[in-house]
Order: sequence, then C-alpha cells, then structure tokens
Amino acid sequence: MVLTITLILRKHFNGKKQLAFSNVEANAKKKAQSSTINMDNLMNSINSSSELYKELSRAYHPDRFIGTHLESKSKELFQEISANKRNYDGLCKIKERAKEELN
Amino acid sequence: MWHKIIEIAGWFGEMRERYRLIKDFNNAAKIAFISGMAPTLLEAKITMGESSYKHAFSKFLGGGFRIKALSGRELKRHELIEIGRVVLDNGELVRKLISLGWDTLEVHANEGYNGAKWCLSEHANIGGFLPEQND
Repeated sequence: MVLTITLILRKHFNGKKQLAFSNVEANAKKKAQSSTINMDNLMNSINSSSELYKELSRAYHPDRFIGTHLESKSKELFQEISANKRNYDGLCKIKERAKEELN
Repeated sequence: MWHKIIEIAGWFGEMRERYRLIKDFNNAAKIAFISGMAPTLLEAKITMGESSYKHAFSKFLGGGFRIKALSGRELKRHELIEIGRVVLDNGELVRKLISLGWDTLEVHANEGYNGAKWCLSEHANIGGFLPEQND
C-alpha cells in the first residue's frame, strides 16, 4: 500500500516536472501567493493619510502657482495628490518630489 | 482519488492564506496602536457577510471581512466610511480579498449600532474576460 502511494506520488511529481513551462506556471503561482499587502502602509493610510492629503493639497494647490513657470507642474502634481488621496506612502513620495520641484 | 487529495490540499492552502492575511492586518494594527501612531485599535475578523453580495468565488459562511475599531466611542458615519474607503482604494488588497473568497467589507466600532458595508466586487474593476474587438 505504502509502496503504491509512493510510486503514484513520485509519478505525479515527476510528470509535473517534465511538462514544458510548468516551472513558469509554478513560479507565477508562488509569486501571486507570496504577494504580501503592505499592511504598515494600510494602517498609516487609515490613520494619517487624510491629514497629509489636506496639508499637501493646501501647500501645493495650483492656484498658488498661477502665472508662474511652475503652474503646469503644480497641476500635474495636484492630480497625483488627488489620485493618492488614501495612500500614505504615495503621498510621502509626492511630498518629497513637490519639495524638490516646486520650491 | 489523487486529484481529490490535491484539491483538499489546495483548499487548506487557501484557508492558510486567508488566516495569514487576517493575522498580518491584526499585527500591523496592533503595532500601530502600541506605538501611538493610531488612536484606535483595529481588528479584522471573518464573518458571514451579506448574502446579496455573494459572487462565484465566495466562501460559504465566511464571505465577510469585518474591521472592528476599539474606539471607546461611537464612530461617526464619515469615520467609518473613511476606514472602508482606504481599504477599497487599495486595489491589490481588494482583488486579493475577492480571490480568497471574501465578498463583503464591513466596518464598525465597538460601541454604538452604526456600521458600514460594501460589496467588494463592485470596487475591484472586474472587467470582461476577452478584450473588446473593434469591428
């Protein structure tokens, strides 16, 4: 009985290895299973993203750059700020960029 | 028979994925609360979910992803919605929740009777199977 089970299992796993692209599929599956959600970012987003969003939308609102050479840049950044309204990490990155590009 | 065993092994793997997601969420919430970054302690758990939100991959009696906030007071409607919207705006998380058999996102506080719930499949941008062809 044990021998039969061992043989069947061996056949099953050997058979899988011989299939073309089987490794590609296995790797893709493993990658999808191990894809971890960034929970720290999620917690930061729940607790702090709205304050950061308010701060950034106030500081880098396109109305503050009307008539300057930074007007189009500020519009672009403001769109990104709105798109990342509830993504804390995204907002932090935009903040760094805005400091470099708009100041 | 063997494919049945493999199916069962796959089922256990999926259950492990579900519990790992819940554990990761709770751990992150606990750390955020202890460090003082979060004013409320959040806890995720599996519930039955809303029957009208079921989809083809929903888990039987386990389709609800409930986030409970230990807030010490009744949370206002906009506060509940804000917590829910953060989860729903995270596309990767919503798709993962759906693929692991969840169909409902519920948010409520430990006090009061207010709560909010969303149908996850409406927020996952699930499209058709084949790309549209221009004739």
